[in-house]
Amino acid sequence: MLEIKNISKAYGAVKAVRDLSFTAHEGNITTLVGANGSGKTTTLRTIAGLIVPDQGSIHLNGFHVQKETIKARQQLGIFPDIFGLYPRLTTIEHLEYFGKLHGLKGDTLKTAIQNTLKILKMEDIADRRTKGFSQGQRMKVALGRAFIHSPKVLVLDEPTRGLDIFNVRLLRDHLRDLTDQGICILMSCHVMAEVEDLSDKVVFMADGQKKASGSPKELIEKSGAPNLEEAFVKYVS
Amino acid sequence: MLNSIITIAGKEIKDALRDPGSMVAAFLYTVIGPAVVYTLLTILPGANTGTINKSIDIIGDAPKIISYLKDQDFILDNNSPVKVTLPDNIEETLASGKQSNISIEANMSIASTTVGALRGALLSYSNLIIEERLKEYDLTPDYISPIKLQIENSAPTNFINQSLISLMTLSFFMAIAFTGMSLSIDMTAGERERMTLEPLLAQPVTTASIMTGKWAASMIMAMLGSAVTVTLLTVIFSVSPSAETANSIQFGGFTALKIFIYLIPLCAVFAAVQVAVALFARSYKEGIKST
Repeated sequence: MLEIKNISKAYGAVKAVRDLSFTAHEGNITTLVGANGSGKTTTLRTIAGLIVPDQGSIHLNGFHVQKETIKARQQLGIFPDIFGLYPRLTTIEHLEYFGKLHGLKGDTLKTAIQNTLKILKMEDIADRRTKGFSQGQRMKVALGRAFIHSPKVLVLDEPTRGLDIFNVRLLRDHLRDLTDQGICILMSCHVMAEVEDLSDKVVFMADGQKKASGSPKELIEKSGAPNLEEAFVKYVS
Repeated sequence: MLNSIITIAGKEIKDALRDPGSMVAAFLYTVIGPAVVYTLLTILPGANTGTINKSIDIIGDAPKIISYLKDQDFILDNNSPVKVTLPDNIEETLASGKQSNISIEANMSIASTTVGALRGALLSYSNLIIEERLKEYDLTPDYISPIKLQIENSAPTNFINQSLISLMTLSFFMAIAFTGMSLSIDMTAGERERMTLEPLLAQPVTTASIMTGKWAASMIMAMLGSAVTVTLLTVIFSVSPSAETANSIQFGGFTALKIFIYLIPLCAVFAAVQVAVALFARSYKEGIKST
């Protein structure tokens, strides 16, 4: 479970996140929805411990991110918006590297790598260096890297950006499989159709603040809008 | 923490070794220094004493002169690039107390040492004739050479040694500075540019472990570069005849090992500085400029 309590973060005079609180539960996909500059990425980076909030606290599976950073990160898998990979390493070497950084070794590591390759159907690219990979292949490696250690919480920053429809569907299927395994997923997204289709819970953000939260259905009903996009516009206007 | 450091350092070295362009550029600097040292040893004046080609082609007839040159280990060879032309009746001319011209024609780009040795031998022969001529007047060679200079070099190292030591020191610095530089930039500024830094920083390892791992990788590469340079210099000093004839520098296996051990702290310092400087660069290109 991911608990965010009253976090705020400012860069000089610019307040990126203001008193933000929400909870993301196991087996659910929680999506942060907001315009550019609404504070989504700052929130996700704060959850990963990459940014220290000016106030507030974040708990990942009971571990305080700021005080127990290493333990909290052991619970976390991170999938950044740009799938930065090492072009001279193979898929297996990527998984091995990040698995080892999570303390996996020996047979446990080998089993984790084989399982990840199988789940993401990456056997055909297992021994290929990632240079020249298609966007879909890069996405798979980045996703595999994020959950090689079976994290309890997976954070994805605009995961479908730059992907074609087939890869979006593939990613969607993987995320559903992961929630079926009880993993808590938090992601940010712009595409309302995907948000509505995938999310169990949506947090609308604007100017670094939470404007509304709930299931897509609840948000639509409460706003009286015909769809989630209209509901978002209504809440943040 | 140690496991994380080893994992990061191992990955960085594996990654770097797979970049042929960077590796060639990095290890080129480990070869340049020894190559210059080898060149210097090859062209040292008088360095090739033991291996001078003494083949000459004599045109003309002068049995005494030819016999003298043979005694000085010169070999008569019609194909020699050094052509010595003796004028007709040279020995009679010399016996009569007159002067005679001997001309030497040679391609000095390939036969300068042979010509130098031949010149020395003919001057010695000329001195013998002077001695004989002076005897006719009951004079000794001392009569025409009242002062004899004897110069001894008391300096601990001569110019050649100093040049060699300077070049070798420069070689070690080049190897250390340039072998690890590419890697230092690639794993800091390059990582930022590739967008792999953020996923790495989000792993359950401390920033200190990440930086130590990267520093260790850069240091190992610098040590590899130093090892290549030290090995090349050891080989050069063991095979070059100039090394023992022209200078007193002893560069054997044990010395090489000692030098390598002395270089390790330097590798550590260079790696730390390069990683620290490159850390502030936003791209590989900017990293190269900074370091």
